[in-house]
Parts: sequence; C-alpha cells; structure tokens
Amino acid sequence: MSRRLAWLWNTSNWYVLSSTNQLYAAPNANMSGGFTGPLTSNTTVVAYVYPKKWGIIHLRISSVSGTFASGQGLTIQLSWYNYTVTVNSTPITSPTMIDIVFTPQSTYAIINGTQVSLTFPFVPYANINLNISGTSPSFSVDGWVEYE
Amino acid sequence: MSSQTVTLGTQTITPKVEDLGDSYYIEFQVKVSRYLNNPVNQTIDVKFMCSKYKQVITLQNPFTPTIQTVQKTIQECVDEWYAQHKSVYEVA
Repeated sequence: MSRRLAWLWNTSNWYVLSSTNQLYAAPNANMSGGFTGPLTSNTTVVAYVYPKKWGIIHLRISSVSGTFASGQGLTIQLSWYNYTVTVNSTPITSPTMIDIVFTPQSTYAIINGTQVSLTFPFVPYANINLNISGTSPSFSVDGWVEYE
Repeated sequence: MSSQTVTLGTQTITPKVEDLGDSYYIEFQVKVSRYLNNPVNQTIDVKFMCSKYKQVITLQNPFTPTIQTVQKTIQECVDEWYAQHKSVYEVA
C-alpha cells in the first residue's frame, strides 16, 4: 500500500481542497470559528483516516495576530473517547510547523523540528481541538493528513 | 533581520523582516479599530510567513502566455495579510 493523502484544508477559506468519498475529513458542523477567514475562537476538526501502518497530521500555522499574555495563544489537543492529549504545552504565538505522527508503537509530535512524545493510541480517527485564547486573536492554520 | 517602511491603511509601519529563502518571516505592530464585529482600540502584534515569489502571467499573445516568477515586495506581503484578515480586523 502506498502513501496516501487523505485531505487538506485551509483556514483562509475553510475549503476542503482534496478528499475521497470514503476518507473524508473537514471542519465539523459544530466548529465555532466560522467557515471563512482565519480562526478566532475554539475550533474542532476531525481527522477520519484508517491508517494501517502510520499516519501524520500536518499543521502549518502561517499567521498569528492579536495580543497574548503569558500562557495565552493556540493550544492543540487530540481527543478520542476518553483519551485527550495536549500536543504543545507552550501555547503558540508565532508561525509554527507541527507534524503529529501516529504508529502502532508510539505517537509523537514534531514542533518546529523538536520531537515531543505523546501518550495517545493508534486510532482510526481523532478530534483535533484548536483552543484559542488571547486578546483579539487570529490564527491561519493549514492542515492535511498523510497515512499508509 | 532587515526593516523597511510600508503603509497599512493610514498607518506607516516598519516591520521586522527575516529572509528565509523561499519565504519571508514578517513581524509588526498595528493599531486596530475593529475585531470581528466589535469596535476596539488596541495595538496588536502580527507575525506571519509570506511566500517570497509570485507568478505573473502576461497575455500579450493569449496563445503563448508568458509566465514570470518575480519577487514580492514587503508592501505586497503586508497588503496580502490585510486582505486575508479584513473579516477579522480593521486597522485604525
């Protein structure tokens, strides 16, 4: 089985840029950030993929604006049933590259090139919570999933 | 880091610019008068990545269009950021 690109979204317009009929993911109906423009409030997206060997959620935060006190910014969490894990312990307040890697053996994130271990199972789908705090915050986030 | 003056609305700003090869990393502060639907009066920090190049298509001969890759100015990058954020902010 070769590497597959499951889907791609862009918060500049929230369009799903590519998807297949069976493997579909998009900002869900309950998202509060709105379907157009950058994210300004808490937002949940769902990654429905069924990896056999591995999966990677790629997130690119290309633009950050607002005013952030210490401890404020964008925090990313993964959740699946009773499991919830915070990906970045320090909230994001500047452009950041994040890859979250799932394998049957381990889950970890690579944040701006630094690897961080995560305690999270190898599951077919996960909610990605994008939690936002700060004064007049705005985040542009692109995301896509690769899997095999 | 380099800096040059650009305009955003009626404000003159001097963003910090870092050249990352294919893109710029740009930081500046700007006063805003609206956030979403609410009037505000505050200065926000802006940090973003901007692709360094754009493609310009010339159609002098529509059957053989010329495609050129040219370097964007910092002003163009700032304008692009504001265009993408007009639903969120209005600069004062």
